[in-house]
Amino acid sequence: MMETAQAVYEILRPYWVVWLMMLFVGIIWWAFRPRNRDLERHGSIPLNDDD
Amino acid sequence: MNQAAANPAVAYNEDIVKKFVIAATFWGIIGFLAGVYIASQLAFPALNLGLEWTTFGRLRPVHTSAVIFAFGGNVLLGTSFYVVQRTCRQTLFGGPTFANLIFWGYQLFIVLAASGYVLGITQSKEYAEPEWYVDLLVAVVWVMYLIAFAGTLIKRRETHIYVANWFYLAFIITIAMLHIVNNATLPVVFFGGEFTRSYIAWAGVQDAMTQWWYGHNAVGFFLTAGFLGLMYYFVPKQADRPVYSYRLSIVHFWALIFLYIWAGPHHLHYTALPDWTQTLGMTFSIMLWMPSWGGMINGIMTLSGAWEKLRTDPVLRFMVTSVAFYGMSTFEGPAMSIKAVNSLSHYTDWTIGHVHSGALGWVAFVSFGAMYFLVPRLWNRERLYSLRLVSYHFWIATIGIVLYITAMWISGIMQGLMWRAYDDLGFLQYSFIETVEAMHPYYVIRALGGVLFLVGSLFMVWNIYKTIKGELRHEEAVDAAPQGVRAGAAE
Repeated sequence: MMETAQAVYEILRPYWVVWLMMLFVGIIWWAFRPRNRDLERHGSIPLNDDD
Repeated sequence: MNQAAANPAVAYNEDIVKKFVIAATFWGIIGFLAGVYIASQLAFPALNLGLEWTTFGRLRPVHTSAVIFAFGGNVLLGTSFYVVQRTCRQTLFGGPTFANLIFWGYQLFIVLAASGYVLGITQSKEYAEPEWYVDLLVAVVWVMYLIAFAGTLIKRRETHIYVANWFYLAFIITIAMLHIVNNATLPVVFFGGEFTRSYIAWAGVQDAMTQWWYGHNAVGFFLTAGFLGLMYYFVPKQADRPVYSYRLSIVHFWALIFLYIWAGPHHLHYTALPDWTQTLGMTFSIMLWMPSWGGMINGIMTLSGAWEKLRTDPVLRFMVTSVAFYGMSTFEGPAMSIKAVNSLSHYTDWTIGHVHSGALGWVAFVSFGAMYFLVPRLWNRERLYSLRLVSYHFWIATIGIVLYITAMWISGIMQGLMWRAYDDLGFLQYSFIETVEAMHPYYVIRALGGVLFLVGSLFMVWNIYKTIKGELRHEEAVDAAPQGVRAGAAE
């Protein structure tokens, strides 16, 4: 089991920059997909203060 | 979701924010004064006074620590406590005594660090000069700060964590990590040595890399991420508009966090650091253009449709100019990280000019804006004592910055070119002292720029003092309309 995990790790590790880039592109996709347009309402949190 | 309306009785701890604002004002003046003094020492070496305690080498860390950690740090701690309470609609976690311990612990760190520098106690790491016992104090205070901040986030009454808090939290966590790793030292007092001396665990080029991993991320997370927290709260508040794009702010945050941590090696171009590491640092530095400009656009475009406020509101002018300086200095920085450019710019005054366009233009200006915003609200005053004084402060300080950075551009590039100039026989054309002599006029101009910046900040001190006293200066509205228009209207 440990050997398999080690082997997978050794295959995946050199491509770390690809995994990070995929994660980052995923964040952009998540933030800007049309379904999440209502994230913009969080922008008014500071303005909803009483004073 | 705004539950504050349903439950208006949140008793925010504003007393702690007041303390931090006053401390920031005080340390700001000390730090700017120290800067003016060491700038004058470079122009007029006699000002070293022939005393070990007042040499440039000992006073320079007093200046850098006073402006970064004392002025900037108090601004960050104070505003983060204000912002996290307001945007979570929750009082500060841990109670007033805990908050006061954080405040006084932090001031003790500043006093111990600065007095140590003057007495020659230093571990000789740039921006991490304090010795081990001061480092331990900082670590304890910082963990308490994290508990107060994160505790407030956990107990929040607002479902969403507002983006400013994300930046503040990244700043707090990353600084803790950087501080501990870069100060992993062994005090020799436990082996019969001096109390004030320690040796770092890392050796050779790894020590250098750890130092600049720390050093550049002090820029990235203390002077950038932390102050972006200010931008994302105070610019929308002062403009009375939500941030231009909340979704862009999410991408801004993650891009900045992903990239900044890799940029440190650009401080070690053409050294013993392996070439691939230097290239990695350069590449990530250049990629930082994207989040930096994304963030700048987000900050400035918050004024979209309300540009006329820039003409009438000098506090907003401070904030927006700071974001413009953020854009300029984060454009210049990646350019300087390119190895070919760095071979000219490194070790010259160009670097100092670059740092100050960020430190004075971005960090200090956004801090001034936030302080002018906070003072009347914290002390329950109708408005600031004088908006005219804010305007004077703005223009005097801006002229000071322009003098400073243009003088350093010219002197830095000239210095770099003189160092690399050869004559026909392949000898260096200039001796080092000739390059120093050539710098003199620019050092005088730079010191003058610093004086203007200091004078501007004294206007702020006076304004804050009068506002706290509860006085209001009677002022005619600044009439921005051109003469002809006004005359036409009168007919």
